Amino acid sequence: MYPQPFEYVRPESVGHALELLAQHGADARPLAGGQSLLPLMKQRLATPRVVVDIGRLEDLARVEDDGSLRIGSLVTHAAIEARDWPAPLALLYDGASVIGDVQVRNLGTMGGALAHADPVGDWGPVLQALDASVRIGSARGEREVPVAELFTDAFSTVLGPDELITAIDVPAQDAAATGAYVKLARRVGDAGVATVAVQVRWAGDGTCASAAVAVGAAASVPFRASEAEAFLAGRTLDEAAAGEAARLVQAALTPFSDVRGSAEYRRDMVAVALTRALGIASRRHAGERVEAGYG
Amino acid sequence: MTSPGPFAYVGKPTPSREAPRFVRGRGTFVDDIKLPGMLHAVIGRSPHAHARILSADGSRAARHPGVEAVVTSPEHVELTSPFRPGRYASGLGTHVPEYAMAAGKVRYVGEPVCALAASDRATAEDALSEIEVLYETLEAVTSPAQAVAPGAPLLFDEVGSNEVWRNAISYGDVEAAFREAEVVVRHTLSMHRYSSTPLEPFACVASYEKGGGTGALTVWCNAQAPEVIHDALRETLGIDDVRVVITDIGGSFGQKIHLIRKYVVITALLSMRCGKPVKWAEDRTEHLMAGGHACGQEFEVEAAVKRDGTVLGLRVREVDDVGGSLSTATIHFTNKLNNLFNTYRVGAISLEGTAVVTNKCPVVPNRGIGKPAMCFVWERTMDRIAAELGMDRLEVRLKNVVPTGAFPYTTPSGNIYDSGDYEGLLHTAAERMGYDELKAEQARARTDGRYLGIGIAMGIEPGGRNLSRDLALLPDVKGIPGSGGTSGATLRIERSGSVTVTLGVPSSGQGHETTAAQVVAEVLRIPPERVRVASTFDTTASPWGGASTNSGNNFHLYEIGAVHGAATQLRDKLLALAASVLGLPADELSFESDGVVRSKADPARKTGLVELARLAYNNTVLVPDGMEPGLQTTFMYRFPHAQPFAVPDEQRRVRAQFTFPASVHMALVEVDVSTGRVDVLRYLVVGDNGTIINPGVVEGQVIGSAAHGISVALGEAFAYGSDGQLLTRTLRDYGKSTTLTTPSIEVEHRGMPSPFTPLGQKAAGEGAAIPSPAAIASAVEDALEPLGVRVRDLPLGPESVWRLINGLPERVFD
Ligand SMILES: Cc1cc2nc3c(=O)[nH]c(=O)nc-3n(C[C@H](O)[C@H](O)[C@H](O)COP(=O)(O)OP(=O)(O)OC[C@H]3O[C@@H](n4cnc5c(N)ncnc54)[C@H](O)[C@@H]3O)c2cc1C
Repeated sequence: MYPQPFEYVRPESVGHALELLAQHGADARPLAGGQSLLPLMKQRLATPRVVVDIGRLEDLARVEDDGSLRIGSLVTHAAIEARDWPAPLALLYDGASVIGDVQVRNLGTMGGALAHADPVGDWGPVLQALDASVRIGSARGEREVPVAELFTDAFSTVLGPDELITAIDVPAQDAAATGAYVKLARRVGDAGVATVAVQVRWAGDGTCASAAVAVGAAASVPFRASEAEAFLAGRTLDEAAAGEAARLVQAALTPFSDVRGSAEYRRDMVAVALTRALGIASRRHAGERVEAGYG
Repeated sequence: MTSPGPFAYVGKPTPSREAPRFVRGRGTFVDDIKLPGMLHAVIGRSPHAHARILSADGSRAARHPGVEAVVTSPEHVELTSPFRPGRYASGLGTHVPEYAMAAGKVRYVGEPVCALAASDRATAEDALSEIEVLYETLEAVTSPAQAVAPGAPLLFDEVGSNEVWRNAISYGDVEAAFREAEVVVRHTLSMHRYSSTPLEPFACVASYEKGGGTGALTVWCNAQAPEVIHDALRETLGIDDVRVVITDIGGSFGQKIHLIRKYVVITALLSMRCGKPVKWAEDRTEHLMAGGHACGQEFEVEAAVKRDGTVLGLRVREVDDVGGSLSTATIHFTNKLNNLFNTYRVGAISLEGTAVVTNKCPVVPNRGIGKPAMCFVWERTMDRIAAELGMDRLEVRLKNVVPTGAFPYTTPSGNIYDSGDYEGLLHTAAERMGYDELKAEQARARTDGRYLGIGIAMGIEPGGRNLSRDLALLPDVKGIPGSGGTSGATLRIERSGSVTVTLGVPSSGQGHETTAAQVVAEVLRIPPERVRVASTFDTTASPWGGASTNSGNNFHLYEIGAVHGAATQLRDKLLALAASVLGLPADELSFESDGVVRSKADPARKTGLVELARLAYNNTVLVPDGMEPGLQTTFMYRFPHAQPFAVPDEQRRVRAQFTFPASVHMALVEVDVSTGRVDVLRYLVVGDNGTIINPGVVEGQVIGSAAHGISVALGEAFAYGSDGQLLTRTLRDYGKSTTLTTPSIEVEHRGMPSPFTPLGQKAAGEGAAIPSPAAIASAVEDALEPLGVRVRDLPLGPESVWRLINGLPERVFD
């Protein structure tokens, strides 16, 4: 299938890209890795008149690491998968490694995935659990929005039509923190039916000082499960604690149904994913090397 | 019997002839064909599952710059004739004309309703939305139960019921079997809609030229059965001068026999309207919506059993969900005559069934056509019997299989199983799998809360084709619609001594060129590299090849039979010619390697292929009187052992097919009982394909078809909403397994040559797709045995298994 006719522009700089977006407003779409935009255009579900190809803007493709982390919006899933992350950032590897297939990971970008705001996207929960925020630029200026506040509904964000995500900022993590992202899916490479990212700060006695719990692929937007987080703080992460946390997550959830999974299945799988993610985070805390993957 | 052979080339792993071409991107597929002035077509499809077409207006689209031809459904019906009803709908009472486009009504989402051709594909897509089709939507029926409920909307008013067909057949004394039964085992079973999703969807280029009579039409398409296209174009367009060319095909699996004809007709009609060549290439979503599905089949099964596990008889009631067309309504039922008794020596069976139309994609032949479901019925029932009698699943099968000494074995329905050693297959599989050790491991794993399961299934892969089979079900039909069938091969020995082969079928990637070259090499004693097999099929150049419909399975019988026959004829002719050249009687000559013919008595007296070929073509005065010059021949193969029961006798016994390879599949799975996910840890196929010509080719067929059957069992499935919308419009949504979830498949050959074929070969194609769904079902049930789970329905995607574990009903989409 072929997209509707459109104009193609390749800006020379980030500034130029922002000018073009300001100029064309809602008629324009930025093109990053094209893994979501192009299929939508081919099905004529997206019909931009102007495509602004930001894909070669080197300034957006860098990772800066000085304690806190700045990931350029064009950094690909594959680049994140390939990097050697310290233990407290293992979530980034977990997330990247379960996105689609090799081809998609080679081209798809973190900024594009966040802007696309697919309810089954993997970066939403992972970055929420790391307290990340996105830097947003436009001809009007710059702003920073926590990933937890980026998504307004399925496929909707707070981004204006003239705005670009320029980078994702991940704050420095506690040196002893560990986390895990578990994606339950029908099969390898498929979209999730329930995904959970946890990031645990450990107290000296091995209990959980605090935990971030983010849930994806179950509701229209990924969300932080604050009741479960409050419950886990200060506890020993045993089976009973995980079970109660899972119950609290389920209570806060209105899952959707699609061909991959019914609402009732998703509700149950959120509990399984949470329990497994907490288990893996604990084992990682104990120094084990464990793949989180598809749980 | 004596085994054929020893062989010089047959059975040896020779390098593939076609693989390098494909791997290097040098194949020629329909979409690679570019003709001067060629236009590009798109098809407009129904967005509704069930609606009346009120009007269609293509005038605005026709004015779109670049558009050169538009056809809408009402015009199409005016301009063309309906297809003639074919054998996939044998025995339907009421005939409803079917055209390439919907006529008056649409009955499934994606049914073609209009088409146009423009200067390029993008323009064509732009213009398509300008064709205005107005519908009056009707309520959709999406399940057989809904379709036959009182007051359900009718798909075909002319038929008067959505249950369009009902039939029953029985062999042996079924009532007596149930009277004598010590135990009756009952259950309901079902298999779902799936497809083989060939990598290359449908494609066609049509080029019409006006001229004498009805004009001349050439089509290039990726249909697997050229004669279906030939017939369709003549029937619907009334053109007599039709040429069908088929280049490389990216997979067929039966999908490309039937529905593809609609699109070839539409593309040809566009070409006729504008007088230019037109190309059409289907996209993936179109193929998933409207390219044809395997039939959803539901069963009620009862088995009459003795306490020692002996099965006395089986009663099967079947309901087929055939979708929104009558043209293939009965094939999933009739085809069950082919493996009606599977591998078992059981005396009585009754099969009763209905075909129900629904507002879903029409069903088509697909990798086994009903045979995977018949095998599923038998194999699930064998497991059930084992469970109810407390027997081992292997033991129940050993008790009931046709014993090794009983071949050739005639089943009560008249199939003659040529050769086999089912007990040997079962024992070999159990040994190689380590069945007893696995059972111990399973017990240990259970104590750790891990759920391992061992699956067993066995099946036959009937090969050969007998069109008169359906008469067994239709005793009122008079006359023979065709028994058996024939396929040809043309061989020419070139003056260089190399050989050119033309086959009556195209190839869909099953290695036909490799296999055919090897057989020629065997007969003519030349290296296979000296044999060139045409990779393009062309009705103006190729011999007839209707018998095999290009299935890998039938190819090994018909085309190989034809190639063997033609090569043997040429070999005899070479001997006769050599006898004349050397002045010796032919029986004093020996045919040696590299085409040397030598006197047995005086080895110095010899001649060879090159010398004989030059003579045969250029020195015809030296060709003996009465002998045709040249070294070219066409051999038409007929299955030589089609009697008895080539046509049904008074007990309705008929040979549905002619050779019967068999295999035993064993699977080791682990079920994650929290998520319902099934991982296949090991998968083994021990098979009997008779004499294997090319081990790599046969192994490829086994692995490919097993991988598909496993994916079918583990969750690939078409899903419809209650409004008849297809919910699985991409391969990702559809849930096809990828290489990452497909286990490595171990294959062991335990070939028993067929006494009925020239090389002892049997069919080798779709075989492993037949028992594999049952093998996975068996393994999952075994894994979940401690939880009391019974597996009756496919597919077994994670949510389905989770539902079984939690005692929840099957999911229904809304
Ligand atoms: C087969 C397949 C499988 C997939 N599987 C997964 C999966 O398992 N998990 C998962 O998370 N994702 C999956 N994806 C989606 C993938 O992650 C995409 O890469 C991602 O959704 C979009 O990133 P992109 O760089 O390709 O963006 P594009 O497709 O170029 O753009 C996507 C959208 O974001 C906008 N956009 C792009 N960049 C920016 C920016 N910097 N600022 C503002 N707006 C921007 C575009 O205008 C467009 O609307 C899959 C995709 C495919 C095709």
